[in-house]
Amino acid sequence: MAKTELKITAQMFAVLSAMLQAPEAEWYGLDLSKRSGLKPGTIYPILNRLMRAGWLERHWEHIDPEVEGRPRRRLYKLTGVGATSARWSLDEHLAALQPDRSAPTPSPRARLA
Amino acid sequence: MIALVVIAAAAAFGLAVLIAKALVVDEARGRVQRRLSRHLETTIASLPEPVRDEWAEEWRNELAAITTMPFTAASFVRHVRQSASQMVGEPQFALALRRPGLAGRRDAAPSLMTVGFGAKMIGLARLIRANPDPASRFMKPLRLARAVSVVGAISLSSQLWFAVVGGSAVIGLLAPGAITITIIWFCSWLGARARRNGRG
Repeated sequence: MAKTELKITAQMFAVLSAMLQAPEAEWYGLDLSKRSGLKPGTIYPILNRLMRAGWLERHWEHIDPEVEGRPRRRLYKLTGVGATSARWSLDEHLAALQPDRSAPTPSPRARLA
Repeated sequence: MIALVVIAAAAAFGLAVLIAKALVVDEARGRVQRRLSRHLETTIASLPEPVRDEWAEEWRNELAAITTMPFTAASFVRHVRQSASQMVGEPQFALALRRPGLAGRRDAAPSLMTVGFGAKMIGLARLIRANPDPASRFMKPLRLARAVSVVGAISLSSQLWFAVVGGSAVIGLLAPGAITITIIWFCSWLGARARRNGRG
């Protein structure tokens, strides 16, 4: 699959942080959307983009639907590159959100201006 | 003895109510499930083949897993439709959809909206060709449907308003009727005027 540059959105962050809680785990779409707080059915474009970027891999669950009494699921897992890149991106964005402690605190007058 | 009969009758009645309720609930649930599956299949059928091949089974399976939760399932189907239209525009599928002679842009993939709009336009064009007087064919049912829904909504809201605010039973019954008749008359007058203008 061709690797493409990835533009990370807030929803993608939610998915990645849910997956990073257990980087080795395999997730199916509904479970992942529930854990990342997204509405059911909204996760597929995100998964699609993450897969195209090479951050995720997927495969069909190996079960007998008749024995299990449910249809097979498609499972998604972070790749090694995906886990590293996701962690790096999340750290970078979280760092950007932190207030810069070295910068002087602006006076109330300056803040108003 | 009488108490025994009353208890037996109450038990039988309760049982009948439970059975009826179970049947009605099952029936309603089945209908909702069928309807949601149909909607999902419509969404899948409207997708270009590459997207369908890649996602259809996963969506069907996930819907099957939540089909007992109608609200979640309805939300799922609605959002899958949005996701599908989003994914059709993704470069990976857009490239696969490359077709010569497509609206002047060879590398343009038709979006879901374009496909749906195009299909509607083609259908409309066919209907217009088939009917010599398309305006009367299309506009009458449309106006009627609009008029009925407007009359229904206004009548219902006025009834509620009179019931809550008016307090008078006579006004509560007569006023909505009078309003409904006035609105029906006004709609028919509008229709007649539109027809006169159409002929002129």
